[in-house]
Amino acid sequence: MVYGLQLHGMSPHAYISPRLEGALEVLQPRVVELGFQGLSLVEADLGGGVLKAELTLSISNPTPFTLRVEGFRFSLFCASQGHGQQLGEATLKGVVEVPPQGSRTLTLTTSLTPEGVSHVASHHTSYRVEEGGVRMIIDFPARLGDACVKVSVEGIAVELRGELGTMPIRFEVTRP
Amino acid sequence: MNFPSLKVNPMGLVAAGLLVALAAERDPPWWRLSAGGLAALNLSPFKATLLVAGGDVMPPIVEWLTLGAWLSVLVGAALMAVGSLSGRPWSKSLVSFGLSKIAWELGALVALGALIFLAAGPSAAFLRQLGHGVEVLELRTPLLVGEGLLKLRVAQQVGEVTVTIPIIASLTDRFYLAVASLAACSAARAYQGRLAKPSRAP
Repeated sequence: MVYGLQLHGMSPHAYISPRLEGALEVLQPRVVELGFQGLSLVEADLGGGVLKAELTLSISNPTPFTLRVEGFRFSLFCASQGHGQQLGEATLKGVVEVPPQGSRTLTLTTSLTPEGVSHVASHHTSYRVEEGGVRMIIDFPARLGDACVKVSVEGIAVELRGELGTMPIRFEVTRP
Repeated sequence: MNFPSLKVNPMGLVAAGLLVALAAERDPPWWRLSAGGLAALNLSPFKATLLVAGGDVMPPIVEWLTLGAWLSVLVGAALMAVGSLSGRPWSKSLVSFGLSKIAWELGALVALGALIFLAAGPSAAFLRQLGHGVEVLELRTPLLVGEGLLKLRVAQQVGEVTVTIPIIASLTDRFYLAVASLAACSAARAYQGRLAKPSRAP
């Protein structure tokens, strides 16, 4: 015991204190960042009540642990003044593992309910006749609410619930 | 020539062998307690590590305390063997020394596991007092063996974060070897008591 104390410079404090330096460095809070990459239309049949799109987000992992994104979903609401209807929802296509200090792309399938499509068709869709055909323009601000992100790090499950903010949604489709 | 009769306590020799087998490796834990993959307590009287994010944060004094415990079991094994080869009254003390070391160390490990189990309630109260919007939704800690859970909720400005940490406790093969050693030592001590009875004067 005395020899051990001597090895630590006869400092009782150093001898009995936990060696936290390395752990504190590793466990420093770091912000996982999500970034918008793109939104592409998959299927648009307003008459048939179908509107599907794919939303891609980038996710960066600044931690020294592998981040496993197991779930990501949110509901889309119309953010136009006086509206607020729920239009549909977006869900993550599959589990994504983000390596330490790395980044990956998250792909979410976004689909509107028939009621949502009906709302978009009647309030947020315009048509313009052009040389090649008819251009359909869908344009509305969407609120991304009731979001739920499920992530696991080293066997520890983290679930985040809340609002993701608003984003403008705009598609242009030309039909002959 | 008149050779003194050799009284051997075979149970004592078995106990000494078990103690040597137990102390042959210092590193393997007897008990493991993990919180997710982020923190793990590997505990034995011979070595204790508390790994947080892969690094050992255990205070240095623990290394020296456990080194002492390890050496005392090795000495106990040697004295157990020596005591088992004699029928003299003092041999009982030698056998008792080996028994007391493993009994104390095994008892301390079980007591520490029970203490961690009992401390779970006050720990939850402490976490609640931390504030910062941290709320303990659920805290279940296993008693030596089993699975538990720590579920926390942290309120955010626009939502909440729920963190679920699985807690798993398990006893390893070394623990059961220690129990077998303790049983053998106890039996050896009882037998040594008969073997080393002072002979009555005629």
